[in-house]
Amino acid sequence: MPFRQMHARFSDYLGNFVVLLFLLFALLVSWLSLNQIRKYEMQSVVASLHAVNFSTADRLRQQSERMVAESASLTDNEPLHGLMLACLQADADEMTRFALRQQLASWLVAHGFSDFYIVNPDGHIAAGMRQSDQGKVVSAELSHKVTEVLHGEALLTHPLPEGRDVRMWLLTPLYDQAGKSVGVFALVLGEERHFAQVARLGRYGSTVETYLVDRQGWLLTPSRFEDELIAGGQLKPGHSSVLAVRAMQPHTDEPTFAVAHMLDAREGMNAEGYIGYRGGLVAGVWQWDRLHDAAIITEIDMGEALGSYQRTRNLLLLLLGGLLVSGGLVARSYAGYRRRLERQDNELRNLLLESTAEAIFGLDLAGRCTFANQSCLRMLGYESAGELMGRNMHLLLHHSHADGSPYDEQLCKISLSYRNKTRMHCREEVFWRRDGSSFPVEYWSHPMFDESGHVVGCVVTFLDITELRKAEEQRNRIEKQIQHTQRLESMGVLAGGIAHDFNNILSAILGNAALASRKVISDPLDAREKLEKVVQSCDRASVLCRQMLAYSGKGKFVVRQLNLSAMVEEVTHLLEVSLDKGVVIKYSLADPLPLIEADEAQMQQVVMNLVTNANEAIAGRSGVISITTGVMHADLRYLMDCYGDNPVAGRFAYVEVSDAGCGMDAATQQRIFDPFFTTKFTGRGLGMSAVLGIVRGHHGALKLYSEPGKGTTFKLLLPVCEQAESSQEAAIERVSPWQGSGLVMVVDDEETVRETAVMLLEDMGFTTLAAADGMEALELFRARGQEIRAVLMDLTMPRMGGEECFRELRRINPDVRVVLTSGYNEQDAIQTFTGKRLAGFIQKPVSPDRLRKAMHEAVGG
Amino acid sequence: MRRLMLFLLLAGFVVPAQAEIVEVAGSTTVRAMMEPAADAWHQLHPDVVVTVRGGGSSAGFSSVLDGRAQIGMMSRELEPEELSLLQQAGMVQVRIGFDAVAVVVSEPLYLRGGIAALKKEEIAAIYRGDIRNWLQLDGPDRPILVIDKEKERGTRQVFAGYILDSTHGDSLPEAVVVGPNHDMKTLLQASDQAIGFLPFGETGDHLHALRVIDGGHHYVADTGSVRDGSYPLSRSLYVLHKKDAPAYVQEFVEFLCSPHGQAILRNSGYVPLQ
Repeated sequence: MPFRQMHARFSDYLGNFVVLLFLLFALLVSWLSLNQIRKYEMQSVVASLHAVNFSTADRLRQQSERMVAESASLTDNEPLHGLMLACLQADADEMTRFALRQQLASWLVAHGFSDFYIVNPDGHIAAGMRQSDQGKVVSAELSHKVTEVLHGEALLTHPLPEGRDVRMWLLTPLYDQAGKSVGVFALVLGEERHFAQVARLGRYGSTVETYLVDRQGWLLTPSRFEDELIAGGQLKPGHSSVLAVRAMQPHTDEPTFAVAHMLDAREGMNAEGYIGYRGGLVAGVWQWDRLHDAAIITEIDMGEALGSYQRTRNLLLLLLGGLLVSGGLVARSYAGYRRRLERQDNELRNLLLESTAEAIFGLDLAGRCTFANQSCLRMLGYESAGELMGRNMHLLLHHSHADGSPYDEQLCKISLSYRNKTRMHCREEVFWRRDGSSFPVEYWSHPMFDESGHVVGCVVTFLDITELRKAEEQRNRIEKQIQHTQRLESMGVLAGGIAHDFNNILSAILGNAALASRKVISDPLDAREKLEKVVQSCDRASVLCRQMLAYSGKGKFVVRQLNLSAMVEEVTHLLEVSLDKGVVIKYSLADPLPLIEADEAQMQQVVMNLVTNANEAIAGRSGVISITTGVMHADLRYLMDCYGDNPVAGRFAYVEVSDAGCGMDAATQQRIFDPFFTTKFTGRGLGMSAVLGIVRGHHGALKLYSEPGKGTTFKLLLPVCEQAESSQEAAIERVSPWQGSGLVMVVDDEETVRETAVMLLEDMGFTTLAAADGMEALELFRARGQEIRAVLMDLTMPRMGGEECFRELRRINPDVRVVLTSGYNEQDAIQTFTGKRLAGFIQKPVSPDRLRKAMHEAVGG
Repeated sequence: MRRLMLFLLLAGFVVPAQAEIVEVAGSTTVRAMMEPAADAWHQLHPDVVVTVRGGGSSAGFSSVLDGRAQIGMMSRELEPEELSLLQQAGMVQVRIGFDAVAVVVSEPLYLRGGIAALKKEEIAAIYRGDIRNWLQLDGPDRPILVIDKEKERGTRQVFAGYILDSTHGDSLPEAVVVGPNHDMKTLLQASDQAIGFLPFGETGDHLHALRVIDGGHHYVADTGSVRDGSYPLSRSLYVLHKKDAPAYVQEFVEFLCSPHGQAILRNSGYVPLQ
């Protein structure tokens, strides 16, 4: 898997993990917060219940105390007390009782009582609001309480059943003048003074109620929820719940938690929730009221107690949910936005990738394809990118070199680009198509980096340069043709010049020879003088030929290692005598200087030519010619500006000749190397042609810098030889006075040359045999082969040339010794005879010294 | 923490509102219908709280006069001096219904003692102390427990105005004098020999109204006779307020006269305007 994809997938997983973690954290925090809120909520609710419960107890106590005091104020009132005692008398009349009634009536109603009784110790009613109640017996429950009170203190009863109703009584003992308990003053509490009224104040909210129960758990105050109890079958319709309902868990014999624990301590509470007498879950607080012998219980339904908490919780969950949903929506729309951007980005990238004519593909670090554009597929011959994706591109398209030899992936420049983090460019290799064919490519490989700067692969861009190559080849061909044409043109000029010069020389030779032949008898001395002029003319012709060969770059070089500085020093006297007056040479010669391999004579000729030209450029005025030698490194760019025959970049020793003369314009500079181009009245215009030829022949370079009116600088660069050889004298040895003997056959189609050779050989002591061509030579050789010690043969002849003749001669006698002569230089002439045991070679024109040396080597001895 | 939560929860939703308070005081007779009417009005207008106090018709008048209440309740006609004060103070009197005063005896007398109708004179004699035993009226041999009300009570003034020929006519000194109607009811129920008087709406539930015989004509309290004024022991119920009282006060008074308010009045035992 590519690193980028792995990284993206890892980022996705990490993102999801972080979101999940955030969710869990939010849930945990919410849960803890809600728990805390619930705890505080319940604490607050219980505190409220406590407040209500204590307030109820307090009110009840106050009310009881007030009522007892009120009752006592009556019994302590002397006239009333007297009337009460009178009523208790057996003989009490109705008017006494009516008087008591009249006196108590308005007080009763004004103090919240509804009735009164004077009760005998035996439970009979001595007086009351109703005359008709006279003499009746009170209910058993009341009678029990009356007995209890008779010898004690005032007592507030619980609600006691009275028919279908309940009544609460305040019982106060009545004492006679002697302090004897004679009866009980019983006040009936008005409903507004019942426990119920006070307990009703302990109701709030929708479920909070405060109620009183007796020791058995019977309700002493009406339930707030009588309708509910009736509906649940716990209470008969039309009945009060007081004394009719017990605070038990419905459908069980179990008291409610509050009732079960009301006597455990003075007060208690349960905030966790327990089953109330209605069956629902309630929280409650309670206390045992010893004064009233009852428990005061305040309860709230858990639903209401936690209502606020539940609302908060729901709101919080809603907020959380909303937050999550909106977060999800935001994340989704952001992801959509990102995708859209990415898609647009991809579309743009694809458009760019697909619209470009260049082929582009991507590689990961394993060299596998990560993408490829249409141009790439088209050039490689694939249908779709899927065929390339994930495949090793080197094995697919770069497995072999152009010649079919395998291409190691480790050496592949594309893989080097991402391994070495560098940009690579190559135009010497080929890519292989799907069909197995290859094509030359020019490609660039750029490494790709991720955000942290690590290489993740590379992008390769390539072009099919088949057409480019064809065009280059065609251009080269055309250039060669042009060069050929130019050479032919040059040859034309050259031939004309040669013809002209040779005509002059030949005229001199012809004239002198004719004069000599006429005077050879009459005036041998004059004839000898004429003949010497002939020889001089021949020497001039020979020099001319050497210059021609030098121009062609194919002159005979006597190559040896030499020091340019030393060479210049050697020719200084020659240079100085050729200068005009007023011109001086300034030398600046480097020492030591690396050796070069060159023909010393030609080097001297070059320097002489350059100095001569410089001298002439100064044109009679006084001036300085600088000759400088040195060593330098010349790169290709430098060499591009030089004249020469594709010199190779490297170290060069140089000699620089510079003058402050008239200089040259651009047109002149372009033509100075053309043969026979001259700006002088004298001279043949071959000097600079020869210089360039010599430079070419030595694989050197010639740098020209010239400005009209300022001067000219020529810089001759010659490659430094890599290994210094011991200086070897390769010069032509001095001719020893060697004399040969035996028969030598001279084969040449030109009679003058043939005769000259015969003459010279005979002068050496040989006997000669002459043949005009190869055929004739073969016939003579067949006839007199045994005698012939050597053959001097021209290379170029009609009918049968030297080469064929040589083969035939060798067929007749493999040991035949043949010395070849030719106008061409030795390398060109004898290259077809390599390994054929050529006895020797003499370059024309043949001088007596060279002939003697060659013959000596050929026949030995 | 909790306060903070509540604040956060409620901050966005609760618009703080200033509750308007309408203070009503006066006749306990009118109060019987005013309290449920106040509750009903508060249900309809949670921003208005109506507080109702008793104190009697005279207190109702004076409360509005001196500004202790915005609405006064009266269950009697204005005295002449009250009328002039009303005009001076820029107050208005609005009739909201009718009440009739019924003469009531303890249930045993009504059901078993044969006391179901009394002449106006007989009732007056009882209250003046001229008749002291039910036996004198062909009832059981029981002394008559006369229950009277405080003189300033509207009900008593209606009663005394007709029976004793003077709204402030005295009753016998031994009479048991009570304040609110509730006390009268308690005593009438507790006793088996008492006589008293109650607003027509308070009768029933063991409290039986006597037929009053006046000039041979038997008067029975019912809505028709009350509304048309033929029942002699009847009176109009009024509320008073200043003319420049705030709009929410006047709106409440209008509510009392509306069908909804009149229904409440009828349910409270009174006789609606129509």
